[in-house]
Amino acid sequence: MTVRTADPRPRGADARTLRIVLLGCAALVMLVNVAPVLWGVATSVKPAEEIFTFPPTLLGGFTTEHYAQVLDGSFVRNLMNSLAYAMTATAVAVAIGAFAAYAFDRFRFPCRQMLFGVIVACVPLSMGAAVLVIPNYLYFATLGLLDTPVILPLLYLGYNLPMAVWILKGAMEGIPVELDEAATIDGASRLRTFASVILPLCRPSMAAASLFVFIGAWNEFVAGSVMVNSSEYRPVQVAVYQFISAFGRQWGPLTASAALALLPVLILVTLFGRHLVAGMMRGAVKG
Amino acid sequence: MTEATLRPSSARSSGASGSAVAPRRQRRDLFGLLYIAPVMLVLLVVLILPALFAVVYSLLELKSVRPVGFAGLENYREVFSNPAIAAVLVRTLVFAVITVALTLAVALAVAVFLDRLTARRATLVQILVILPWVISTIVGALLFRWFFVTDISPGVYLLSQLGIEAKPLTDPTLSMISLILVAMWRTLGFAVLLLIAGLKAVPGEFYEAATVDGASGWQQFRLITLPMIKTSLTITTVVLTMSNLNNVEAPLVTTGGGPGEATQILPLTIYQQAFTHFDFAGGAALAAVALVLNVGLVFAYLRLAKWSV
Repeated sequence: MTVRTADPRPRGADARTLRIVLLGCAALVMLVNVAPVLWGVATSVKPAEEIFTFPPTLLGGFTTEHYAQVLDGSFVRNLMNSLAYAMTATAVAVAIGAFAAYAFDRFRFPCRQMLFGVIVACVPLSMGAAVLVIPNYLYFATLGLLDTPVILPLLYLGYNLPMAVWILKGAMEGIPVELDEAATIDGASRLRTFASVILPLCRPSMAAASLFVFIGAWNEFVAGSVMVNSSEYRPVQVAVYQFISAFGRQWGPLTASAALALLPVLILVTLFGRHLVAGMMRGAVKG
Repeated sequence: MTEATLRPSSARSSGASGSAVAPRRQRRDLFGLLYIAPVMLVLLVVLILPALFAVVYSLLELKSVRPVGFAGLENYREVFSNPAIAAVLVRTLVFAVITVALTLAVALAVAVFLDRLTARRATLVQILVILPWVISTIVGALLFRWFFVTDISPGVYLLSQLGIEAKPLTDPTLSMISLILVAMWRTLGFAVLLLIAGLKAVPGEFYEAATVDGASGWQQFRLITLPMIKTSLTITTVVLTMSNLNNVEAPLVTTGGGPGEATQILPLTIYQQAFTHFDFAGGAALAAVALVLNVGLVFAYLRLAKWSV
């Protein structure tokens, strides 16, 4: 990310020990991070009888029966639901988030400071789903919105919007105001300036914000498990969770469903992960 | 090139992004309110109102999901008369403190290491590091359980080769350790990224000067790095605490709260109170207690995060 003018590495034997300790620590973390995912994928294509051998074996037969078993049912529908929810939340979050970020960065209006403070406060607040989901559930029940296709996209939008606004606002801070002024002199309206001058310059941050919202929506479980009941509207994480009780100790179909639920996120992170990392490194934070 | 151009607005924590830009000539107009209206409306409905209603509902008498009267503190009295709840609160505290402390320590070591990698290699490694964070907690905890926790997992096999016979899911202490490890696994990479952002803001000259003066690596870390990233460390602590105090999925999938009540922590209890036992009044009372904790952390975050408009 940053180029240092000087090599900050400490030198000497002491430093070598430190470096080895750090290297060992980092290598262990990588291994622990990646191993359960690879093991899960390996299990999902193993014949059932091999899964339960102990000690565990790495190589053996290959089968797709677990995938067939998982896909035979409403799981595909649940995958598609999550895809639709996440894409809706992402598109709306980036669209309305960009407007808000632009206004916070460029306009002066009453309570601006306080309102932006609310958005920043909502970044950690949105992590408290276990707390918020009860009052949410109770008043959405009153409004008759439970078990409808709009409830989850709306919630996922709300949970991830604060972060999207913050990422986009950070990007707009870096765009010189002189560009806006030049556009105004050339006769562009404010909306035109926003759409054809500012937005194209924010593309990397828009990618980061999109990725953040999509992953957040795709991965959400707590609201998904209580706000909708019918399998018609069920998101994928809830479907995976229900397999845990349905399949019990049948780890073949369980890991197959986990692998399918992972796939979109892995693809996105492989393709655009650097944008996400860069966006997060700019100081925007949420766990 | 000067230091300033070499260090773009990579870290908000450096405070550079605010001062690097010339004083803004903002237009004064009320259109701004129109531009932010959709965002504020969504946040109001999804986050702000429920936060307020959490307290309101806890004071109401609920028949299923419908308020039928005012209950005062009756919901609280009922929930807290259950001795198991006190145990849950203590357990939650122990879980959160240990998890956050361990995560911070490991994350700091990894961040210091990654900070020294070249940019190209760092990006790849960073993506690997945040992998468990981009995986949903449901899937992550499931895979973690299958790899480390179940009786026939490679992790348990490895331990047995070392002469340790462990059955984590039936032993209360081991299942709590498993839960802590899942929680660490889930949030570590994210903590690493936050800390790297803090480390990037430490000027390289400081280390240069310290090296000239003969300071050892450990001395440099203790006397330069740690004090310089204090804010990053604090904010990482706040976010990690928040994340672990609200995590329903990890205990639900890894241990289900068991054996017995050994890993029953507050977020799981709230969730089950409302949506397994359908005791919304009791759930709301517990949620209101958790909300107080959350709001405290939100204010800490608001003070620590570098934001300005």
